[in-house]
Amino acid sequence: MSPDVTRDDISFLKRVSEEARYAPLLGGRYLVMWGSVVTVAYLCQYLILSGTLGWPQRTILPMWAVVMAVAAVCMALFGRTMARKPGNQALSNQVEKWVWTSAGFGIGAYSAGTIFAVALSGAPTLLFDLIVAVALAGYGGAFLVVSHISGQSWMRRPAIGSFVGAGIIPFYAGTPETYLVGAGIIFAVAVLPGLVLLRAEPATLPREA
Amino acid sequence: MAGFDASGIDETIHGRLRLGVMAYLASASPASFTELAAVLEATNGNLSVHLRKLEEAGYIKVEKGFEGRKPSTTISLTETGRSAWEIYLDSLKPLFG
Repeated sequence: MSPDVTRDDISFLKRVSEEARYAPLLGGRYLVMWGSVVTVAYLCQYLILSGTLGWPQRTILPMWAVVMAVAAVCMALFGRTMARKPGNQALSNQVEKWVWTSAGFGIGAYSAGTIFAVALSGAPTLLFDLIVAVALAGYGGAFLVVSHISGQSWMRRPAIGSFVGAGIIPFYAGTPETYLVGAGIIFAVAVLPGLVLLRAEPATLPREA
Repeated sequence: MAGFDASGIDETIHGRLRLGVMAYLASASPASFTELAAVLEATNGNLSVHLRKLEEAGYIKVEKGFEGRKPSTTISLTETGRSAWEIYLDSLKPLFG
């Protein structure tokens, strides 16, 4: 085996290993979708709470139900499109998938607990406002882990932005502005990074012949 | 190259394309047939031949199914394959000091 052949084989092996290890992240559409629906929901919540829309506060819960239904439909549609994306099962994409799923479960658990605590045991409604902070803390953790595993160092910026946002929200808790500020932060730390990921996403593979 | 034993090299893995399959699946398993063909820049026929050798050795599992009406083949690294890959890499270590 000549040195040139060996060198060529090693560089081939290195490229293949790196393509598997650092496969392009496929979570862009999820970030854009969740970021968009939550941004819109927070804006609506701000407009309701501030009295701008003139809607009673009891419309907030149905509004969120609609938002979650839209998100659920999008999630179902996205699931079908991901199967033929290259690197779908790569370590970085598996970590991205599960770390965001964990963040989602954490946010969901806190939100559900808050709804029941307020409805059943008279807990203060201020707890609702802190959902925004809990969500941002979850986003920050997810971005930081994915940044480290995927080698995408730029993701530390939305991670830091999320953590800073989680720290800012308590200052607005108890006011409608919580949701206006929350909408701005979520847009910046979810929708924009999602668009960056979408632009870098590889094309869907053709079906097998 | 003290310590390197060429007879310890696993010939089932030691081929450019099979090496590529194992290297890719070590970090991204399962993968579709089309994904492997694209990454390894291999023709379908050539890839099939090498996948069969790895499958016969028990290093990979090939599952055939359908996506709508089109065939869909998924390849995953088995535990035996992962162990063989680790042993293969260990056997090459003396070469690189």
